Amino acid sequence: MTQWRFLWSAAFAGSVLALSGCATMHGPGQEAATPSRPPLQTFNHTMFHLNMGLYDYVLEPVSTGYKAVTPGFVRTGVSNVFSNVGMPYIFINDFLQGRVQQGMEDMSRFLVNSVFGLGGLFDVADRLDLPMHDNSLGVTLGVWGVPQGPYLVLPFYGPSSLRSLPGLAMVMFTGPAYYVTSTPAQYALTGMGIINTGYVDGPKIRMVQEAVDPYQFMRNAWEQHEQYLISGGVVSKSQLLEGLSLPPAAASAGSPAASESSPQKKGKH
Amino acid sequence: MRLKKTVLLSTVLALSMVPVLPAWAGTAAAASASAAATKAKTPQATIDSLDAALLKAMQGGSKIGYHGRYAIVSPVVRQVYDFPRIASLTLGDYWTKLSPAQQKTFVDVLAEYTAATYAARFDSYAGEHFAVVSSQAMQPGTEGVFSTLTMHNGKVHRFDYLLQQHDGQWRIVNVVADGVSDLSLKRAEYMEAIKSKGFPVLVAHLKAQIASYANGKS
Repeated sequence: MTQWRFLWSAAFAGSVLALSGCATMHGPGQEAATPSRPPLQTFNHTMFHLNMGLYDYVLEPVSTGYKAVTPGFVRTGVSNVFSNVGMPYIFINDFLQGRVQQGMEDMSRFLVNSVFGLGGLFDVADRLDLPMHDNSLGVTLGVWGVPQGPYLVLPFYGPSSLRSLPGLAMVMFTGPAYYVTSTPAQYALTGMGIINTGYVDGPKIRMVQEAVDPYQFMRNAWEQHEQYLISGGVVSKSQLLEGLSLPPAAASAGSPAASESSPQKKGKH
Repeated sequence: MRLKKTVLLSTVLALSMVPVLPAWAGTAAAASASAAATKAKTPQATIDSLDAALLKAMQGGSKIGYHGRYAIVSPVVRQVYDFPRIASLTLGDYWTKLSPAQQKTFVDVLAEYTAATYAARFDSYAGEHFAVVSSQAMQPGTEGVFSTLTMHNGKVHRFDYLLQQHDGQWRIVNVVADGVSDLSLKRAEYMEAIKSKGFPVLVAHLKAQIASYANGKS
C-alpha cells in the first residue's frame, strides 16, 4: 500500500515516481476539457504524461527484462546498494532538522551496511533493528518554515515543488556518481540506477496509474506525505477528524489540482 | 509485480483452477477471519480482525492466488468498513443528489473495489507484521486507532484508522497511511471525475479496475 517518499522513499525512488507519473488512461482527455489552464498547470500535466509514457514504454519493459534475466538475490543486492548510497542524503537531512535520534539510526544503518554488508550489498542493519526513514532537503526546508511554493512535476523526476528543487542538487552531491571520474562508470551507475528504480518503484507507479484520476492522486498523496514528514511522522487529532467534515460541493470538486500554487502549505505546523 | 506475458496464464488460472483450490482454501480461512470480525466489539478488535485477514491473505500469497486472497479479505472488509458512511463522506453534497438505487450501486462497488485492492496488493509475505500501537477517543462515538505495518526490511509504515460506532459495531470510516488520507484522496478524485465525466463513468472505472485486478492485469 504507497511509496513513497509516500510512496517514494529514497532519492531515486522519488524521481522514478515521477517517471511513473504517466498513466494516460484517464488524465489527458479530462485535462483537455479544462478551459484556459494556467501555464504552470499545463507544464505539470505535460510532464506528468511524459513521465508516465516513459515508464510505460521504457522503464517498465526494461524492468521486466531485468527481472527475467537476473535472479532475485541479485536484484535485492543491487537494490540494497542503491538504497545504501542514498543514506547520506537522508541522515544529513535528519541532522539538519534536529532529529538527532533518527539521524543516528540512519547514519548507523549506513555505516553498518557499508562495512559489514559489503558496501551495502547485504542489509545487515535490518537485523539490528535500525529502520530506514524517508527524508529530503525539501522536508528540511519545510521544518525550517519555508513554504512549499508552487507544486511542480519535473521531467524524469516526478512530483516536487519549488521548495524541493534545491534537494536535487544535494542528492547529486551526496551520491556516488558525482565523485566517479570515469565517464563509462558514470553511465553504468546511472543506467543501473534507473533500472533499479523501475524495479523497486514499479508497484508504486502502478498504484498511481490505477487511480481514477492519476494526476490528482499523485499530487494529493505527495503533498500530504510531504507534510507528514515535515511534522515528524505525526498525524494530529484534527487531521484525523478532518475527514469527517463534509466538504461543500464546489470546494471538494476543486481540490488541489484546481491551482498549482499551494500557499496554504506552510512548513512546520 | 506481474509480467505481461503471464497475464493470459493468470486469466486462465483464474477461470479454471482458482474456483477449485484457492477458493476452497480461502473459504475456510475467510470463515474464521469473518467470525473474528463479527465479534469485533471494540475499535481495536475491529482493526485486529482486519490485520489478521490481511496477514492470512499475504501468507497465502500466490499459492491461493488473487481469488483465494479475495475470499479471505472480502467478508472481513465488508464487516469492518462502514461503506455507506464512507460513500456519503466521499461524495459530499453530490451524495444526496443520487437516487437510492445509485447510492446502493456506489456503496456496493466501493466495497468490492476496496476488497479487490487489498487482495491485489497484499499478495505476498516476507515476515511483515501488524501491530496496534494505541487508541484514543476523538469524539463521543468516534475513536482513532494507531497501528503499524513493519516490513521485512525493518521499515515501519503507519496506519491510523478513524472508526465510528454504529448499531453497536465499530467500523472504519477513514485510513491515514503514512500521513495520506484515503478519504481525502477519494474525495478529490471522485468529485473531479463526477464533475468532468459524470457518475456512471466513475462507477464504470471502478468496475473496470476490479475486473483488472481479478484478471491479473494490474
